[in-house]
Amino acid sequence: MNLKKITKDPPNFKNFFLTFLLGFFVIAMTNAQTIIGTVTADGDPLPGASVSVKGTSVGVSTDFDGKYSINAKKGATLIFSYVGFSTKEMVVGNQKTINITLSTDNKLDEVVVIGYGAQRKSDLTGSVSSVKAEEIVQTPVSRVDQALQGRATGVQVTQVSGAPGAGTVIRVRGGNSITGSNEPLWVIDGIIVGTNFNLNNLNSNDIKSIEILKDASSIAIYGSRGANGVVLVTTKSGKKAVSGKPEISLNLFSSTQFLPELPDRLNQVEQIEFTNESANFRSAAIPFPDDSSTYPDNDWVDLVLGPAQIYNADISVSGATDKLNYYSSFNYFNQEGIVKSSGLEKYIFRTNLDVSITDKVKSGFRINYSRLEQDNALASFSQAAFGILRTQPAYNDDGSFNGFDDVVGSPFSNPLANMALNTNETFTNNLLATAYLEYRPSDNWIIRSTFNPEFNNVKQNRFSSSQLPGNLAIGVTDGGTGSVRTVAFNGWNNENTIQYLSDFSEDHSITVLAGASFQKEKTETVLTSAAGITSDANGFNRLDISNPILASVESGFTQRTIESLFGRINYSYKDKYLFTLVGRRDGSSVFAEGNKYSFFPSVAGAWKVSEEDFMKNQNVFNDLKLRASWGKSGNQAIDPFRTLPTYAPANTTLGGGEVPGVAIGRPANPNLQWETTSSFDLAIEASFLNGRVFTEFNYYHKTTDDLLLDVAIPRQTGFTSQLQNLGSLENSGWELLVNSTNILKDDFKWSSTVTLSSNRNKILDLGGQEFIDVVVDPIIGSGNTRLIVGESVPVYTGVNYLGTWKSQEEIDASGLTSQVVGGSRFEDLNKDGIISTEDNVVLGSPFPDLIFGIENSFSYKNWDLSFYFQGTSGNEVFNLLMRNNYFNRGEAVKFGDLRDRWTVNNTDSDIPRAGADSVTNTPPNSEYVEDGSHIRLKTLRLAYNFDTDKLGLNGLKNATFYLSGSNLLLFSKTRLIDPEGSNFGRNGLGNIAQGYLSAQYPNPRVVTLGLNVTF
Amino acid sequence: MKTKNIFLYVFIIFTCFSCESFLEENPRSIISPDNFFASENDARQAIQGMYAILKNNSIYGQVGLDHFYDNGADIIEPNRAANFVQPIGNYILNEALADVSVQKMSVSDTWKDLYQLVLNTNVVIERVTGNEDIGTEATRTEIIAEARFIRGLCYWHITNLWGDAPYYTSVLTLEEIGSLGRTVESTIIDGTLKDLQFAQDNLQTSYTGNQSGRASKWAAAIIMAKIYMKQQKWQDGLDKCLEIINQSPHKLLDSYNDVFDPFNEYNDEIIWSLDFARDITGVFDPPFPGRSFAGNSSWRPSMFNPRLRDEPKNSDERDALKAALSARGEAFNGTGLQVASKDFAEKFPLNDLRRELNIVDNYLGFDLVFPYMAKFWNLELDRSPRFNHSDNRMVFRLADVHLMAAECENERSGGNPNTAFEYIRKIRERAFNTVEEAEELLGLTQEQFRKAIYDERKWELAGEAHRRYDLIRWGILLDVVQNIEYRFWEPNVNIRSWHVKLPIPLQELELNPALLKSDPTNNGYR
Repeated sequence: MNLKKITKDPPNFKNFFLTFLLGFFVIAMTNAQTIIGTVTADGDPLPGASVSVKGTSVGVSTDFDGKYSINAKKGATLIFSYVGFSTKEMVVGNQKTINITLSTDNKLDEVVVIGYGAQRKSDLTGSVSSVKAEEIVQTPVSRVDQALQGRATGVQVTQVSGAPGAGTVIRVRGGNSITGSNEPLWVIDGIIVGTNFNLNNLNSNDIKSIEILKDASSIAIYGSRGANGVVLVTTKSGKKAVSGKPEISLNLFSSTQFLPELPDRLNQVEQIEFTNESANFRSAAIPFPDDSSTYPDNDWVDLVLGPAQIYNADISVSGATDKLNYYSSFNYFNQEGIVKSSGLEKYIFRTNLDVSITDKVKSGFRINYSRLEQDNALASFSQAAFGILRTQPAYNDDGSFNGFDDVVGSPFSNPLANMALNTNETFTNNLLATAYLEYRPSDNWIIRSTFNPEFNNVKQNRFSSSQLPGNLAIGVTDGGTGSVRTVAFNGWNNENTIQYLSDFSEDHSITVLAGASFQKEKTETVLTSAAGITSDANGFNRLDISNPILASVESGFTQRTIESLFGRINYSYKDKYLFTLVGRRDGSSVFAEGNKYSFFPSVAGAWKVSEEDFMKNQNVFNDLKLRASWGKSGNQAIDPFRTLPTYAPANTTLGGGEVPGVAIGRPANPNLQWETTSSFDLAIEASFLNGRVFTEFNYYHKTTDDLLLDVAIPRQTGFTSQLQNLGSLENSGWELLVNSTNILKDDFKWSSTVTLSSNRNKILDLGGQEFIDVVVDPIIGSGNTRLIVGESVPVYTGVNYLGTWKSQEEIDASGLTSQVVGGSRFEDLNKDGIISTEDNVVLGSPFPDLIFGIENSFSYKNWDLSFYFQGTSGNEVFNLLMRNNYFNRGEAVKFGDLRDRWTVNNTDSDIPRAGADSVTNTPPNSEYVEDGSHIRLKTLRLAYNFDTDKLGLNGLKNATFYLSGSNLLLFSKTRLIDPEGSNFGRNGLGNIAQGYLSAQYPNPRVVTLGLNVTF
Repeated sequence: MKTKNIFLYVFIIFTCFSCESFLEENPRSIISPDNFFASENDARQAIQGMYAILKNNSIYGQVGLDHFYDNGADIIEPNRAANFVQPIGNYILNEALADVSVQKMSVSDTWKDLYQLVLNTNVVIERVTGNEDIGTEATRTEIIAEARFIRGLCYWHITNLWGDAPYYTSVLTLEEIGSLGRTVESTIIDGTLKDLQFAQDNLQTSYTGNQSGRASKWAAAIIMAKIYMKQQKWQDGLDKCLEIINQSPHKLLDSYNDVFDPFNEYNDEIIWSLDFARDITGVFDPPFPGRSFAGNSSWRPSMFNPRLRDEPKNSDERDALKAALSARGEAFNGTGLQVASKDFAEKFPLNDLRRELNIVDNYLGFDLVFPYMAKFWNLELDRSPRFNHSDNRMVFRLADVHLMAAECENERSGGNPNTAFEYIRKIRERAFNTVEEAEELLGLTQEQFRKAIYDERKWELAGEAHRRYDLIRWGILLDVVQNIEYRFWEPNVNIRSWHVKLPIPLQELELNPALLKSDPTNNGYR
């Protein structure tokens, strides 16, 4: 440490802000009497309940026995609250002990977790969506993010793949970045794990609640990493039972996954007819000269995909004593994928422990260890459904795997051989832990330090057998390939906070938080690969038994460090007017000198209208609150070392031997900086009809500046593009949440939740350019995606498809060359006689007008029934398969539409004739774009809760048996059926490749039987 | 007391912010040009990296430069629709098509990669000049000569393809490079000649053994000779050719066929051949990233090798042909996309011994549908498997120099067609059974000999990427293309006067409008 450097820092706004915060700790010292008591519910002590002094931000939580101790002046009002229970208030008199029993439910009194703390929902000035454990466990999911779909307003969750362990893509209030990550920041029990944490490492049954921070006021405390929203995960802790015994909970379920509805394709006879017609048109050799019955008719989808099982067992032991609170769990999960050869096994252990060392000192741990064993699919749905003709034999006459495609005249990668002979598996060990020490020198002060290490080791083994049919050909000596890749990640995060809470007088209360945080992450990778492995005996375990010339070794290292100072002031006047001021200054290693630091402030206010005197006489609203916030946050979107120029390996050969070489690898840009998002949020929250209806409406507007873009630069530089900070975009939208209890009788309850969100995304500036073309799939070709000022990110672009040419006269009149009657007719917009990207128009956008979720729950006596629909409307999808499977190459599987194609006997058809594409290149066009609106019956669940008393089992607290289904119904108009299974992803262009479909791993229909028992 | 403790605590955590080094980047895994040129080895690696780029699809890999030097002329045609050779093969090229990248060997790719080499050469020259960490003065001079050779080669191609073009020879920022307008061709050629003369003066006379494949001083010399001839400086051209013929270690082989032996790729006649080997995985810029079938970049033999599904003429005999090939350890497993054109196949003299390697319409007794150019074949499965060929890319050979010398002698003032014939006597004699046949070109007038050279270069150098350059140089491209018949497309109908140059791709003009300043028509394409 170099102490001298402190004084060198020039004074600035940020430092004043921090000095201001520190000032509070000096000034603020008050005294009040101490009140103690116990909070109970249903006869049991209620640990973790919140006790606060009304009109202040002073608050404590009850301990494991439901006991609390709080300083309050005489005449002050104490507020007792707990998630799911109605809040109670009690005025402090002369008594020193106040015992309280909580009951029933009111949405606004829930306590929600926020960054570095917790607040009652009614005291929030920011926008936070909360999802509770009860909702998460409704339907068994393999990953916790899947449970968020449609549950939180303003949060778009897309299940892009049905592969075991596949993640979702989450956008909180739209995407702020074009090339950078748009995924929210995940924070697990206070540990900032970043945007790419593998959520398979978490057991969804361990989770108590998930909060999603959405507006500037709530995310500014996460500064440079908050812009995409923050997801806070809180895990369970033990509850003290009256009996004093530990509580044991057991959850078992078993699911069957079924294939979803399949896209319509030509059958064998139709396909043969098409392929021959195409070859004939191109004057090529006829691939199928004989009768169709002489060729195979293989259903490759059935050969490669099939129903598959999931088994899950989950056990936890929890409880609490005077000084100790514990929760331990173990989860075993085993999923086979519907694509044969894929699967996932998980073993997850968790221990949460809190210890009171003295009255003032508390310490604890959260330790999560997981092991994942993943079989990556060796075959793909897209290959089975759209890549291999039904006429392709799977086996040769002698029973060996077939490996040659006679139609194309080239080797063929046989998925059955791949599944039988190859290996592709990933093993992950993850340890995520936190240790904390908390010191409360007085009731006003909380000082807390946490240290959070994370270790993640991934090993991926791949082996491709020398016995594959393609490798058995003469001259193939590089067959039998294997590789082992290991990635070792270790990181730590140290957070230090100091908090002061006080009410200066009856009307004023304040909470001040200041903190400093340090984070360091290191990733080391090693990849070893070999070829020419002639035996399958050892596979990837003995890569040294291979052809040494073909072996290769790579290693890599990246490191990233972040240091931060942050603070927050909450001020409340008369418990009616609430203000929050937040600031964070982040420094990051990935930027060049001079650009390393940035400051992110926010300010917010709320007005509890229902607390006003003039509202006391009305009986419409039980609660009514208005709030507004403004602030800035950032996105640390670049990878380490991106500001530095590099030489990349460029080996070559001389005299027949490989020699090392290097070439300039990428166009460096030392001027890179953070993308900054400014956002404004306006909201109204209300509950009425005695709290039976709660509604929250938010409007927001966000602008992101200094967008990081891979900008096309003149190729005379030797490069095609360079990463630059350029341009800006905005997201604006609204969200509506309605919770209502429609019927509440003794033995019948009906409640509904409706979430509606709408986000509009618009590019404001692209550094002076009107548009930038990006290429989502380089194999498909350019021109399908364009970023255009005034449009959303992205829009689908291409030329207009006008059907087919009906006559030679039409062609001659058009001035276009290389056209054919019956072939595709594209619009030559600028009439220059050439179909080029200059004729492109905007064909659609992947952004829905509306994202909705509707849940209805009924309970009648011991029965519970719930169903949950979710979907989007007004969005388009871009079918990347259209080029190959509709327009081009007769040798590819064709969509069923082509039954009605143009032929000499069907000259009215607007579907192009077979083979016509050989005359002209097919550009991306309007026929690729399909309506992506859909409604999905996401879950349907029927549960029976046993009367445990009647069962007569000693100690059995409750038992529930359920039957549930997910993804059972889907209404959609896309050719590929499921509009969610897309290239939308987390990295690179995937960030914006929303709605680009190419027959990804399909989302299965799942039927589950389960049993939950608690002793 | 408590307050003091709190302050102490706060002081400790906040003073950590003086740890400036906490945020420093420590790029352990990347190589930066700033610290790279620290030894002779480093500099040699940077040169070898340029060879990797030269072998990209867009230049000498696959049929990169062949698009512009061989397709759309009178020697090669595709046997079926192939979108990557179509723009020039069928003369439908325009600014928009020039932008499209097909298999990384379209106009825009060639433009980019030639300039990528220019960028690399400029950095190497600057970092090596006077850098005493790198060998002796002599070593540095040789390394700089290699870089200047590659720079000269690139600018030579750039002027051949586009004429006027952005030109720079020092280290500039990307912004500066990206805003350069077009420099007139003659200025670029002046600089190129200086680069090449420096290369000729300082490169070795040959590279052998594990250095085979590096360009020697004679590679520089032949390009200079070609430039002089294009400038119609016939005497300079002749002098340069004679330097090569008399001083270089290269000799004409006795047999034409031996020149193309795929397993004797560094024979005496070959001046420069880019080395390719099979099973090389570290391809710098693979044509199909992430596609396992792509193999290494030496796909060129696959382009000339036939595809079994097209052959033989009698498709009932396909299995018999397959078996016959298999018995020889061979296969028709290419793509067959580059075959002899209709005109070339029909006109190739039947008594010319070179026909055997240029027109193959019957193989192992099977009549074939297309006439193939076997000089670039390698059907052997074992040593040269599909898409993983070990075959070199031959760039220049001595027979070309002899033909050039003959042409210069015939054209120079005071030249004599009969003296000129002597330069190609050996080439003619090895091409025919009798001296009489060889001497058919003896005793011609200057005009007759000129026409004879037009054809002689076609028969001798077919498919070696000289033809369109020659036809354009002679000013007869349009005339030739319009007056012959084609098998597949209609280049004879589509060709226009401006097709002697390529358009600068559309996107380049949009990103750098300075490119339109000196020539708003973009070489006639707008």
